[in-house]
Amino acid sequence: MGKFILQRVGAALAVAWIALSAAFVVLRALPGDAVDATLARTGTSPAEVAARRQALGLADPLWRQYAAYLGGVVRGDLGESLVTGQPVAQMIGQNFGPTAALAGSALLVGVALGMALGLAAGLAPRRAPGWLAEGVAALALSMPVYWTATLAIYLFTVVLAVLPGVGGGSPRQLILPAAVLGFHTAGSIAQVTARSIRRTAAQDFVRTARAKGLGEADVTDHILRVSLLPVIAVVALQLGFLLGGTVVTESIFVRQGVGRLLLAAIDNRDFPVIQGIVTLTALTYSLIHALADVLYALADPRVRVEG
Amino acid sequence: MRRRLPVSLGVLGVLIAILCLAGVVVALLALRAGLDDKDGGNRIVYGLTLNPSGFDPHIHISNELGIPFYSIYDTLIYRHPQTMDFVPGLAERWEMAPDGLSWTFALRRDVTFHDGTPFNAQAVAANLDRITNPELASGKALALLGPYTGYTVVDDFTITLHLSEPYAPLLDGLSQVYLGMASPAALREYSKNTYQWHQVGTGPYRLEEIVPGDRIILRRNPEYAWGPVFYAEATDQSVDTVEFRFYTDPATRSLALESDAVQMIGELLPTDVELLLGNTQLRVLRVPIPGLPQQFFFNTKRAPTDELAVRQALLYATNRTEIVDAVFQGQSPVAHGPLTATTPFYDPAVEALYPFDPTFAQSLLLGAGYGDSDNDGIWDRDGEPLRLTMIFPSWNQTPEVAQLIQSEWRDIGIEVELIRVPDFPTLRSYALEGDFHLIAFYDFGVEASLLNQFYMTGGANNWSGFSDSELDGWLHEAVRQVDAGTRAALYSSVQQRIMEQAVVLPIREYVNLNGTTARLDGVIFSAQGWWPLLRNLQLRP
Repeated sequence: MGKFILQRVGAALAVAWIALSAAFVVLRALPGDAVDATLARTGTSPAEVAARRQALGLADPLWRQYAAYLGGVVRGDLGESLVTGQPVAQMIGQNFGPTAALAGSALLVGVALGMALGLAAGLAPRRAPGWLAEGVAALALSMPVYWTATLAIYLFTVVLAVLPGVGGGSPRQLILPAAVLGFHTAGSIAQVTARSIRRTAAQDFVRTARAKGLGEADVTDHILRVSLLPVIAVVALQLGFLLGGTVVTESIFVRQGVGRLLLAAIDNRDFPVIQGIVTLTALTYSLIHALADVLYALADPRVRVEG
Repeated sequence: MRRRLPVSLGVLGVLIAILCLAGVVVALLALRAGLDDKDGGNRIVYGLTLNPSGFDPHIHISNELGIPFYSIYDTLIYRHPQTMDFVPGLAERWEMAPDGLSWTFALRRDVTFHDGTPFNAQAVAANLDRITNPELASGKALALLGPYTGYTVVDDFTITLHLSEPYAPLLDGLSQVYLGMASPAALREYSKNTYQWHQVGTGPYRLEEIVPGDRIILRRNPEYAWGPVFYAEATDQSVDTVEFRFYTDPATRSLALESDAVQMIGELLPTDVELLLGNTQLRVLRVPIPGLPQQFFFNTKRAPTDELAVRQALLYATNRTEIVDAVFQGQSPVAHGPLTATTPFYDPAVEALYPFDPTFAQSLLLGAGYGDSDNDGIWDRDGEPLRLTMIFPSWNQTPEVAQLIQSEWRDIGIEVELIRVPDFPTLRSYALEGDFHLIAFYDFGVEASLLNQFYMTGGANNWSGFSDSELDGWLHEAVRQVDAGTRAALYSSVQQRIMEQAVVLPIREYVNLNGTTARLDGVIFSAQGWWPLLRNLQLRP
């Protein structure tokens, strides 16, 4: 098991390095840099713009910039924002908490709602609860977060006025964004759960159990034990969706967070900030996948590795 | 076979546990909600519309940063919001030397910074030192000082600024938040990068807290007694605390206002205004912003917009009234020239030029040798169809404007390719490569010398590539002349020449649509249009 975990962590680090390098190259292929986004806009003379670019190291050859950046990252230094001069690690630190709170609570809502819908759709197919659950899951998958969010804000803060208006970090203001993001996360969890239950229910051992005269509750229990395993993988996958979803959700709900930091950094071509966030996101994502693999191995003896 | 519970705890137990956990979290959130806010006094939440790239007025450039920080700082001079005249601020009097190469400012003696540091000539000197330090990389403050070369501290409350040539726009620069006076003690205590989180001025509000990307909190300065003539006296209804939050998504701004999450917010969508006006709890204020209008520059270096007749035809072919009515719901005035009507030295003579006249536009094109020789609806000349490329950003409804122009021009046989860019660096890269016929770009400011960077030969933002030595001369001279009459005459010539030469396609004068709760009185904005006078706000219970 120790070797297995080591392998997974190693893979996670490799993914993070690839993501970082890709971000580094792609960002520099985009038109403009931080100096274009700020100083050049105010009509500053080209000579001063060039001097500023030189001072920020943006005029260096690409390989040297990359080597310097990678060297910093290895030493745990993510660099400084080209716009505010703030250390990137500090900027991400300030914004990580609110994003984690949003993603975490949305995941909770998503898993609870998604599994409830999946169970209903899987265990009661071709009956009213099943149809309803499938319909809701399809809506969650097909509607854009942007649209649901705006609609939810209008409904709950203006028309019904049961929740506070958007903006800020009071705990009550977390309810709506977490519910909206969680709703969309629930869609694929529900579908995978339902499909997995139906596939399991069609297997021979279920027919055998029924033939042996086992009660329907016991049969259901057998089905669920087998069919809920793939859900672990989906939940881990949904984290990728969540991290993307927070970008949109944070903007609409006027919340502080890594997603909004990223949007602003892209507008300003603030390379170190973007690279820092991409690296951190890739690392988080692949570590959680590694964790899911480990959990999966623990939960299902069939995929347990030797050694 | 071992007997089980109807459904074993194994799997459903986990599910139930998750559901319970979710319930507990929601309940906890609801409980804790009762604990947050309210710390006494009048308090409003003010919605900002973009997250500025930085907050230090000496370094950073956005107009948005002035919304909070105009009230943190005082400037040596103010512009009166109604008359646009210069009135005393931290300087009681000022005088230009007869040669125009120096200005002497007599400072107020009764002013203290929020940290208790007294305000004096040494404080002004410390600010000038900071702004002119190349290490700081000032984006706007330094540019506003123009040909500034240094200062002389005459005595504790008198300072002289020296220039290498006469510079009329200096007073305007000194009236802007970017040249706000910061506490020298705070400037010493914090580095160039960290000062922005600990800003200390002499203004009617103190900076209490900045959480980047989340909020800025200001608290009223009870000692404030040195405001300019247009600042109101503090009353029981003055706002004690202003909390700024960032509503970057335009669609949520009116919702935030309607749900009372904010009591004041700018940049409402024109399409939301009609609905908001029907709500008696709310008010909508249209605040014109001086400077350049929302507009498109013609590329005068690339065929066919390098031909005057073609550019003029395009101006005649554009129904600006239709665009303003359809896209901006009639909430903005139509723009006619390179400056908006509220900008000092605006010349209304440009309004008579270029009425919407598609027939005349076509006759101009005919005169230039165009016609529909192959009957495909698109005019051509020497086998080349009349096809133009238009570059524009996604903000301020510019895409909708571009689409309307495209359809208006198609009616007279011109084809337009629309290219929408996501951000300013991309827009700028198109401009630098000259890969366009029309490009949307504009900026704001009260000083007509703003035109220099856009229209002077080789100007830093002269994206049209236009070059006219006589125009260059007028623009240069207007900056050196202090007499208002002389400047007005020069800027009249400038505006008329720019329009005669059809360098720019003006669309609408920029109007900031602000929404407030009806309980808020005294909503007035600075001469620059963007910055509210927080001092004058009155919140009725």
